[in-house]
Amino acid sequence: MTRKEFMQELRDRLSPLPPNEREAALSFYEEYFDEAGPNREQEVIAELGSPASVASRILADHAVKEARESPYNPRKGFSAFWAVLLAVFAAPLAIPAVVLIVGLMIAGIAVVIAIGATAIGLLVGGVALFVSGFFGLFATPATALILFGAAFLLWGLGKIVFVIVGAVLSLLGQTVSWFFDRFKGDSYAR
Amino acid sequence: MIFSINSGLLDACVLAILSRSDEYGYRLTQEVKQVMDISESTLYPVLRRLQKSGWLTTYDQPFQGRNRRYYRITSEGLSQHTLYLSEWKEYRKRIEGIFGGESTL
Repeated sequence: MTRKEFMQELRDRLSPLPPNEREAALSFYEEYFDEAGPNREQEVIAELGSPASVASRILADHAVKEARESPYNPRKGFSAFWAVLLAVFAAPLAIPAVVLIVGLMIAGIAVVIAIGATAIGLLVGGVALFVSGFFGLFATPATALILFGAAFLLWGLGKIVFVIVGAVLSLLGQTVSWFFDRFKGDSYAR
Repeated sequence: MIFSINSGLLDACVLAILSRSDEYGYRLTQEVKQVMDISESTLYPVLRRLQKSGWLTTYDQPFQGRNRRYYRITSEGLSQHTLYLSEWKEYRKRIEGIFGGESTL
C-alpha cells in the first residue's frame, strides 16, 4: 500500500464525518507523512495500521462526542406525527364521544342538584308542618299530631336523601379525578 | 510494554509536553512514543478531544512550502495539567506504598 492509497481509503472511510472534521483529520495524517519523509513512508503505514482501524478510532471518538452532545430523544417526531394523524382520524368518533361524556356529566350533576333541592325542600317542609302543627295544637290537637308525625317523616326522609346525595357527590368527584389522573398519566407516558 | 495507558494518562502526557512548548503533530507523537507504546493513530483523536475540551488550540506555520499545525496549551489546559499532576502524585504514592510493602491502611 502506498501513501496515496492509504489516504484515499482513509478519506472514503471518514465520509460519515462532517466535511470540516474529515479534512482536519486527513490533514493531520498528510502532515505526518510529510514530516516522516518519503523514505519512512512504508514504516509509517506499518505503524498506523490499516486505514480501517485508524478511521474506526476517529469515528468512534466522534460518535461518543455526538452521543454526549445530543440528548437522547427516541421517536420524538415520529410519535408527534402519529398523535396528530390519530387525532384527525379519531375526530368523527372522538368529538361525539366527548360531547356524550360531557352531556352525561351535566345530566348527572343536574340530577344530583335536583335531589339535593328535594332534600332541602323536605327539610323546610318538615319545619313548616311542625310550626303549623304547633300553632294548631290547642285548637285541633288530632290534626296537630298528624302534622307533627308528617313533619318528622319529612325530616327523616330529607336527612336520608342528604346522606345519599353526599355519597353520590363524593363518588362522582373520585371518578372525575381518577379519570383525569389516568388521562394525564397516559399523555405523560407517551 | 507491560503497563497499559488509559486515556487520562495519555491526555496528561500530551498536556505536560505542551506545557513546556508548542509542538506540531509529528514531534508530539514522537515524544509521547518515547514513554508509551502507542501507534500514531491514537494521538489524533486525543489531540482533537483536548482541543474540543478547550485545553489546547492550534495554529498553522508555513514550513518548506507546506503547513505545520502547532498545538498550544490554553490557560484551562494549564490548570487541567496542574490537576493531573497532583492526581498523579497521589496515585504514585499509593502504588509505591504497595510496591514498597508499606501498609497505607
